[in-house]
Amino acid sequence: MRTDRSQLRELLRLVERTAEREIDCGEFLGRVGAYLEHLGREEPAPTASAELAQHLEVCPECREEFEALLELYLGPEKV
Amino acid sequence: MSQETLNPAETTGETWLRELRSPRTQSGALENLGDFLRRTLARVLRDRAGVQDTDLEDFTQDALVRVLEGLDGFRGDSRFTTWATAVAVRVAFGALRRRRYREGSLEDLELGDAETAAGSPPGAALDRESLLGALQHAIGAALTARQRTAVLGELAGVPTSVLVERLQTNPGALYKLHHDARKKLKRALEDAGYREEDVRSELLEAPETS
Repeated sequence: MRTDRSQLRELLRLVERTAEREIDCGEFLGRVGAYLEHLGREEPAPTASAELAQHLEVCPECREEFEALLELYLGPEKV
Repeated sequence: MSQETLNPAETTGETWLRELRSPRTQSGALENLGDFLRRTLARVLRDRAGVQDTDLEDFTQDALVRVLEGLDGFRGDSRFTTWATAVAVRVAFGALRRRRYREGSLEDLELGDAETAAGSPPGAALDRESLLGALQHAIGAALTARQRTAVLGELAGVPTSVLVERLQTNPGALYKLHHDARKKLKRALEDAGYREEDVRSELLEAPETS
């Protein structure tokens, strides 16, 4: 498996989105339920949501799962 | 609360926790939660190729185990069923990722050819070749072998659960390994003279068709 240019570009994106402090996938899982319900109520985002949004930028597995949850709770048009 | 009255949509998190923790009520609560998660996973996975009824049952049972093991991780700031659904989706997607993944050795993970101009100084106008080359150079020079494996493995689509096994670590430690690696790469690019704006403008460019 050799890294190709599109993968390098993806890594560049991940590096650019990297924050000094990040939550990990376990923390994300513990908080995603409240985040989803908050999105469903369409209220202004609490500050803590920024950490979850940032995690989604750098974690492809959590992003894939989140998109499935978003579709389940809010409908496909929100994904 | 009796098993008959445990309605997943209306039951409070406090009640779920009590019912699932009590030996007297656990079996009924698991049955109710299992029915709920089975129906929910069927909706989530309905358009996914190759998912059989037996898979749904396996995912549901594995999810129930994970929910029971992780009850302390429920923070009570959402409905219990929303949290349990997120756990179940993680279990199911994790299993499907492992199934899709074609087993290969992590030792096979390599950086691509040095076609880019590694180490060449950035000019006033950003040169895509030199930026990607600097990143490539930093992967080789700034990261430890384990960090390189974590980063290149994820880029190659190796599931997290496989990386955790091969690197003999745990998900939290793997995330930290990856996060530390990204921070090192960010610093290496800064040290090489690339500003955040340079990287952003590169990312705004249309993808290459090489």
